Amino acid sequence: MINLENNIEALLFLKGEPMTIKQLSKILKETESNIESAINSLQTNLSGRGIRLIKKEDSVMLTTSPESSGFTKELMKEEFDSELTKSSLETLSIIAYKSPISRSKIDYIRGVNSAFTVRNLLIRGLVERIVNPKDNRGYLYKPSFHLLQYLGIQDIKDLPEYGEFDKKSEEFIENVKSDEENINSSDSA
Amino acid sequence: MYSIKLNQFEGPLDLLLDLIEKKKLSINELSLATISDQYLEYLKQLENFPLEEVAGFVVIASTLILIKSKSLIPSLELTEEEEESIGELEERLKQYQRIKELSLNIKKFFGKNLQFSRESFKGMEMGFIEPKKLTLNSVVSIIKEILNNFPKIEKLPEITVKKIISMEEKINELTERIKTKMELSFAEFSKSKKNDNKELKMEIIVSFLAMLELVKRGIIIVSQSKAFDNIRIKNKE
Repeated sequence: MINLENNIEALLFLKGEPMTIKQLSKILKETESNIESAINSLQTNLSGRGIRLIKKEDSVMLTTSPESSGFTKELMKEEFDSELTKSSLETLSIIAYKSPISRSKIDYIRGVNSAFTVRNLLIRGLVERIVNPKDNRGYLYKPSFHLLQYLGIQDIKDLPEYGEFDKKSEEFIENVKSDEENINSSDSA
Repeated sequence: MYSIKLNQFEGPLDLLLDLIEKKKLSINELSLATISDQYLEYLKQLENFPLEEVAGFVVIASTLILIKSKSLIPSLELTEEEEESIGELEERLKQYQRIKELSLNIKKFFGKNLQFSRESFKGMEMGFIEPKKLTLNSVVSIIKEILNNFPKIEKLPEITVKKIISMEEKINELTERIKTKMELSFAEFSKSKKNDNKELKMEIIVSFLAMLELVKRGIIIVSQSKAFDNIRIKNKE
């Protein structure tokens, strides 16, 4: 298993961008479940090091550690705008904690139209969207790798209090919105 | 009176939540009834009301009026739908409040400790590009060529000091030789030990000049039977 872990590490290092478990499984000629468990132990083993494995759904990528941020930023010599507007912050939080989520649900939670804000987050690469598998007229929004990199976390589940958005309220929104969406599905962002 | 800065709210929920939290109330029917007047007051004050948001503000205003009415007239019978919309408003506010709390986490983390990927290699196709024509022999011959092209170690130029045949020497030589030998040919006299053609010529020329000089001084007599024939040199005495 150590060998598989090492090989995954080598491939991810070489690639320098996200790879899917599927791709890794094809190259390494291992089952996807073997790849997945090797990825998990690689992530654990890297947790104290200068390189981290970050994971988003079925994709993984190597990054520098958040602890080295001071020096890596220096090397990259880029300006990192860490300020988010109030509406960006709220919208981003909803997507981070409740992804994948449709724009109408974001609007519902915020009580305000978020089309502009969501578009802005998309342009900044902080979120990404997929076609809603249940309704191909709309999109679902999800955190991007870029967001994980910005937050210095290896998995969106690492966010404090993630998943404590209790199931009850989840169902509440789900029910209300499924009614509303039937009447008003104008998710055009 | 409690005053609200205008246009600082994102939407009706933001406004409601702010009103409730400023009064340190928790979200329930009672607190909503309490702040409903302020909410309506805010709407009235709002100039340049953002048109897209009107509906949202008004829907919530109507629910608030409903809540207020219910609190003033306990006997008021609400329909099931009306009860639902009150419950929904409470629930949405709680959701929104929760998101606001959670957004502090995002705010705290965002952009503080960045994790970089190897962006510089992003999109670069990985693969071995076969160097065609590369063989062991070609490598060897290239190395040789490189070695040959190294600058040569320059030898210091050797200065060859040319022996200058002086006329005087020749004159003396001829004088000496003609004293001991009564007669000699020019060919004999100008015969050189040198192999170099150029030097040989030089020697002949100098010898000829020396001969002429001695003729002039009246030391020797020269004779030539025909053109390009050997010149006979004789002592005049």
